[in-house]
Amino acid sequence: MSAAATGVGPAFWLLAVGIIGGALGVVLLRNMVQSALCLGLVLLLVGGIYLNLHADLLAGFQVLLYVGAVVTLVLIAIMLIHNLAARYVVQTNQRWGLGAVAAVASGALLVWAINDTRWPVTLRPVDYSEQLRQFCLALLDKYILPFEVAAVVLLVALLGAIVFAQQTERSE
Amino acid sequence: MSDPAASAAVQPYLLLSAVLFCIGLYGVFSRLNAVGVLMSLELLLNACNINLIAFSRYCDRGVELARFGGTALGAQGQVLALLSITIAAAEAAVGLAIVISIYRSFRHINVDDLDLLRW
Amino acid sequence: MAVEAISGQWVWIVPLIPVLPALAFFVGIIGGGLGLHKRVSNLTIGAMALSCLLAWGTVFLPVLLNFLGGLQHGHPEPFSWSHNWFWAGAGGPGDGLFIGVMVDHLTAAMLAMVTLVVLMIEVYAVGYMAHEPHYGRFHSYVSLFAAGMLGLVVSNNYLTLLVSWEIMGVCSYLLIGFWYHKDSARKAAKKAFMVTRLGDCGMLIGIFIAYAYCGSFQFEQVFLWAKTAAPVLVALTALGLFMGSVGKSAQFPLHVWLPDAMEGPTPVSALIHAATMVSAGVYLVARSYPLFYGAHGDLAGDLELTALGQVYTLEPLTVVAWIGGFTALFAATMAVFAADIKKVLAYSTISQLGYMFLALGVGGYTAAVFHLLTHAFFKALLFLGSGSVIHAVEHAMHHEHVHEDPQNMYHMGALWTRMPATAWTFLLGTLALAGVPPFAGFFSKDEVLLEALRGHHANPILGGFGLAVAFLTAFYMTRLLMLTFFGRPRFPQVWAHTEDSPAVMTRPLMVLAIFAVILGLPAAPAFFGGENYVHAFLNMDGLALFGVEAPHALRPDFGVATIATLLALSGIVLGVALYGTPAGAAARRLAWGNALLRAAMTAPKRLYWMNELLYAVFVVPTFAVMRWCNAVDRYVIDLTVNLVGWLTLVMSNGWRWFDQTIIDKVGVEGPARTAQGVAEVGKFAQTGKVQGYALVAVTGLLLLVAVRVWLVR
Repeated sequence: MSAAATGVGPAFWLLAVGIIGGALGVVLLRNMVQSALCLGLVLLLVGGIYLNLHADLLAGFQVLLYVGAVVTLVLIAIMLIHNLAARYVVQTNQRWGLGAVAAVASGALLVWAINDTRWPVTLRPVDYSEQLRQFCLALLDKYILPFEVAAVVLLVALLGAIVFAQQTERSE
Repeated sequence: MSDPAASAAVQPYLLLSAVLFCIGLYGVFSRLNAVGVLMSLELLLNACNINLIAFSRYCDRGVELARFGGTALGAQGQVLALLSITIAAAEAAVGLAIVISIYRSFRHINVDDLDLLRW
Repeated sequence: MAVEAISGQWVWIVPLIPVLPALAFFVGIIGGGLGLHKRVSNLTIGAMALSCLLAWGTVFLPVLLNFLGGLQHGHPEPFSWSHNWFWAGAGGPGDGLFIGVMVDHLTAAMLAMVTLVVLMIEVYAVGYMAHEPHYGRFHSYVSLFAAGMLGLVVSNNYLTLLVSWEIMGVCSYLLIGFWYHKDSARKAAKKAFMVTRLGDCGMLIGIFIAYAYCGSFQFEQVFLWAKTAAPVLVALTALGLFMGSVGKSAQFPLHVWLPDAMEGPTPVSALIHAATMVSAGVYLVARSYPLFYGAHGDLAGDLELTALGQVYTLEPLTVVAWIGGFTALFAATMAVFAADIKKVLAYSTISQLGYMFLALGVGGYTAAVFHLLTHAFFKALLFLGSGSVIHAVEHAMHHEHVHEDPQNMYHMGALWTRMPATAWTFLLGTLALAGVPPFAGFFSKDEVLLEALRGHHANPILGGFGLAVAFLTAFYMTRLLMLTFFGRPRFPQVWAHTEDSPAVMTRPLMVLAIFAVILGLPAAPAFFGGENYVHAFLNMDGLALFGVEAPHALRPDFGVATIATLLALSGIVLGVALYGTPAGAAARRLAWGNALLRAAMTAPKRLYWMNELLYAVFVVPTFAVMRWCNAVDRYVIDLTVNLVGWLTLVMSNGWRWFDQTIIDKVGVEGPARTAQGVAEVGKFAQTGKVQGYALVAVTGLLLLVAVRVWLVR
């Protein structure tokens, strides 16, 4: 507990370096398959960050949903789209310099804001079973409406995906 | 409660989140193909999720529980993160379906060239 | 008894009598426009026959039977029935406008006469107008005309009376100008309309006076008011109404329209000069008799005129009598010299109407109405007979390519053998008009002369006028007969082709001839000590209901009758002598050769220059006023108008500049052009590149946050 109280451990730093490196890979690599694999790495490591923050349930969701589902989807999409995986295709538009400046500027703003703010941190002991109980209570009690809405959104997204994917097939 | 030392506990996570966010932002701005843009969006969402979990760990108001003789850590931030992951999954599914649909129509997914809605 | 049984239904039957022909007009004028000529006349004649049936069966005969029933039990009751159909405005009797119908002996007799004569004329017109392209229009107009006359007769108030009166005015205009392609017909129509309008001004004033002081248009209310009102007002009302009558009944000096009205088709002449329009004037005075008589009975209250220090009293009835008597003589002299067969009858009509007014003026109400009824029949007969003659001669002339006036009597002659049916009926009509016993005209004319010579307000001069007219009437009618039906034919080839009119024209003549013969007979028993049924029926007892103590009509005797008959016979003899014998022709030539006689005869031949006089009195001043008005209009009003217009133009030019330059360019087009300019530049920002939009959005967000954090802290 005290270790957690004083700061972050070496696990965090390892994860942080991995995440940043992976993220740079996602945005910079020209081969989209490699980018997708980097994305999978990043998502996996973010799951590690969740574990580091004692949110083990979320970590499980992260791995299942993101690494298992989203990355798979992306890979299938890349596979379906002809010529996307070629190694030396130019993958950036003409505004990438401006984009970099804007990104660095917003990053600087964020970093300044983070350092300039005094965060009202309260360290509390973690009881996993109690946390799970609280999670379930919050999900099915206080946030029941967003939960239901999310369910509907998922359904609509599913149907939408089918419609979009199918429409052109029919016309072909 | 909110002393600088304690404040320092959450800052590394936030900084990591900020860096990840900026990288994602750059990806959104600069990637030429739509799949790359979507992947960068996933980075943005993950950055947000890291923020949510970190605040949930360190800045939660807590729950009154007699068993602890005080307050116990709550899980509201985690719920928000879960919803965010859900939406991200939906977004990815729809987005990629649209990308494939676009590809079938135009034989490419170059976002810059998909500028039919211009003057 | 019969009246009590039927009078409840009069409420709706009596309005129906004028309404039926009016409806026939509205349908017929459309049908005429569609070319359904024969059906239009079937419709109008059917409506008229139905009206005639209603008038005789439900009004005249019940009233007559009721009267005869009363006569058996002594003195018949005065009878007057009136019912108000509509009213407008607040208040009870004597306040507001009431529109209704009335029936009394005068109305019943008039209804019977008008419907029958109009029906005969309409049947006759079927033959007369057979080849007329506007056949349907003609019959529609005639139907409306009849509706106007019947409406006038059944009115129980001055308002609907005036409306009907003016309907007839319009119809006379339309019918006189029926052949509007002829310039003379158009002028005659205008003249008839305008001249009668002069009289109508007075009539309107009279009605307005009555309404202003009495508060009602109803006859009963006005007559009851007249009993107690200031005599001056009553006299003025009566004179105003009489002025309308003068115009409508073509009395001196407004008689000039009637001879010109001969431009209309001959059935129209019969309609206007026998049954309807001209008799409306006499009817109006007879109907309003309580006003006239009340004023006459009270000398002190008559219209007093102060002139040259002398007070003159003007009695309405005296005015009526003198205008009537003078017109009768005046028109008779003109009739003697007319060459046109219809003009002779026209002047004769004016003369006979003058007779009726003369009778009214001397207190002979019964005589006037009696003469009105008999005259309607025999004058309609004479007009239709002359129409038959003209019709036949015109056809013959057309056939023989003789381009002469078919109405001129000097182009006819010896037609007796060519058209016997017309000639016989015409002869009967002539004898009736000339006053030969026992024809209808003899009895009615005898009553008029009796009243003028020996009545309660008799005047020897007026009586002399009447006797002279009786002589002249017989003379000019004999002249007409001689020139038309006897002697030798002027155009033998035309004469040879002249044929009698078809049965549809001669049958109505026969019906009218029957009435011309028998209508006077009810008055005959009086000569032998019996009952005078005409007096009993058409007496002034009805006026007693309005508080007028009217004298009873005189009993006719052989004295006046003998004088009148002798005068008529001497007129006939003179006519035959002058126009039927070679010696007469020589005498005429001799008379025209004598300068003095020629000058004396020129005056009536030129109609006493009355047209010229009226032209000088009314038309010339009117034109002068018009010229003045024209000058004022042109140089004063137009100048002002032009100035205002010019100012408006100048101002509007200024406004146009302001509008086009400031409002349009700056105010309206300015924002639009600005928006367009901005859009011309700004559209380049819409690149369609989604990532560019995101970049801009994020940059903007960063700037906003930066500003908030570092600048606006």
